[in-house]
Amino acid sequence: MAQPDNAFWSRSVSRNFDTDSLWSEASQNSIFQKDDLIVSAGSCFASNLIPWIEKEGLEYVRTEELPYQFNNLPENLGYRNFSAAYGNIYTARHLLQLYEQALGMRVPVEDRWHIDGMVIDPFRPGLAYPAESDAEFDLLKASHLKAVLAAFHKANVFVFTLGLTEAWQSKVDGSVFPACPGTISGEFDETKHEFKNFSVDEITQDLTKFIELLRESNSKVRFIITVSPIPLVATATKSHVLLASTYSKSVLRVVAEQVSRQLEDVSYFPAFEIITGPQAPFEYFESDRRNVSEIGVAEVMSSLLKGLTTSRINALDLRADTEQVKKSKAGRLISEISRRIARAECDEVMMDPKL
Amino acid sequence: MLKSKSGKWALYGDTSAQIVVCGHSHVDAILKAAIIRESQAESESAISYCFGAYAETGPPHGDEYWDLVVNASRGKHVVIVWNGNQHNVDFMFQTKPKFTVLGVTNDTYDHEPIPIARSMVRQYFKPSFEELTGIIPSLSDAASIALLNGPAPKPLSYIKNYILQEQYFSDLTKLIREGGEDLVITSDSLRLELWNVLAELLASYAKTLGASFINAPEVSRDALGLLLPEYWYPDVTHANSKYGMLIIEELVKLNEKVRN
Repeated sequence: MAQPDNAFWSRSVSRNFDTDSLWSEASQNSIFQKDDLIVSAGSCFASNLIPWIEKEGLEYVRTEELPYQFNNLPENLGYRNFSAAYGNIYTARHLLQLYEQALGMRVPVEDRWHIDGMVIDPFRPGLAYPAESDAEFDLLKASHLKAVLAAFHKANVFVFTLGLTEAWQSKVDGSVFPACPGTISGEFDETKHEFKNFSVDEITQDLTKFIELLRESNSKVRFIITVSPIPLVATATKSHVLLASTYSKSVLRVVAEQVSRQLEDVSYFPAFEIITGPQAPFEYFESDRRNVSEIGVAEVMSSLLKGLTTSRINALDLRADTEQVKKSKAGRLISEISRRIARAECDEVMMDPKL
Repeated sequence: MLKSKSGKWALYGDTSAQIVVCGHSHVDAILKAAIIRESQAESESAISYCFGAYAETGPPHGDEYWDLVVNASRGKHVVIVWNGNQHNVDFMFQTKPKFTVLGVTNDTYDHEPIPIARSMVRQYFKPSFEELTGIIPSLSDAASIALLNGPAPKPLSYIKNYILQEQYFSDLTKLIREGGEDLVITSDSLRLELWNVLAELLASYAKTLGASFINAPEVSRDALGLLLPEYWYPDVTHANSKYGMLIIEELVKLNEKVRN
């Protein structure tokens, strides 16, 4: 059987490369509908999606919004960018454990840190406004987990961006922290905390288990899996960060492929390839060759929305519209989020004190 | 009568009095009480007051007002009534989503309100105290400085009768209704807890800036912590001259303590 042009590098990458051709026609017709309720989670890259889908009139589920009086207060690390204020979730294990906590199936042994009169959530260590007492911590945490449950159960599209394989976990019960204790808050204790570099099998199992568990309560939910194109800011392995990053992204890419092939209504969206493939323009990364540029983000989002909306948004129009968009309120938000994505938005960035 | 440069602000009472009371609108209750005391000739005036020279000047504000306070306060004990209405101005009506803070006990909303961290509420109110960091150092020639908290909130059952009679709240009501929101006055318990946060902040600023802190007198509050009916001025936010009398008694006691 003759293979199509896109099976040949010379015909589809060396020449005539079209970002949108990375999506199969079947995928293009199966993900976002105009009345979809979209939830996203994952690494920083997952939060980039939000202003774009809202601009297109799609509904991003938000279950932990603040009263307007508090909306403009400074916040750290983009916790409230997401459907509930869970912040960046770099690993599938963290996502699974968050959902298990929300369901009441899991209570972490190390569930709070008492620091300078404040009570810190080890799973959201950078929250700008932590609790001041155990009673307040319990109240705020219960409300947060309720919001997580509400968001996850309301979604009919769940976008998850796989970010890292490397993580720090509790030696006692395996609870995964979003950052090494001691980097954002808390204190590293080698008797309690350990480094973990998850394997393909472990991540595949975690992600599969999360999807299956969520579908027990929300059978209608469809998944879009992406792999963050942003390289590791630092590695805790003995490897060079470039090698560790390549390994990590390779593992995550395999997981995304396996899970999307094995489970129904799970699609892989190639944000990783759009930004990091050899065909990608130099300008898709900023000068540090780690942060994705605004133009790179725009390319990914244009492709995602073109491929997935029933109105078949024209990516060229969308791109041509970019300057206009930037001048609007939503546009400024998009620009700001695009800019921040690779900077202090990420707990991960805190791994490198020189950034 | 000592007046500010343009004559807009004035120092009332005996200019030799050892206590100078100044600050925002809750000074009015103290000033009214002082006028009553003087008319009854109960005692010599131990307190002077910096306030508007005319009814139209509105609540004290601006450099000219504080320059007058600086001039009037050399060698005196200065009591600054600082704001005290932030919980009313910004949180009189429940918003969507409805919210609560730890300590609020008796909310009866249709839907469970979301809890907001007290540290977040504190951060929200902080800008309303920042001006103090400039004012207090400018009073370096005063014998002492105290920050006086405003009166505790009044109950919903009372303020609902006045809310539409006040321009600020009336305008706010229109805005909320135009936005299609339900108009629900926040619970007594929530306004009280927000007022408690304000008291904590004022006490904290006092400590940081080397001033003392005077809270609303305990005797002015009911079992829940709200302002007792005998101290209600007929509006949404303020206390009456009887409350002002309570404050004067507190300040006179304080003055005697300093003298002795």
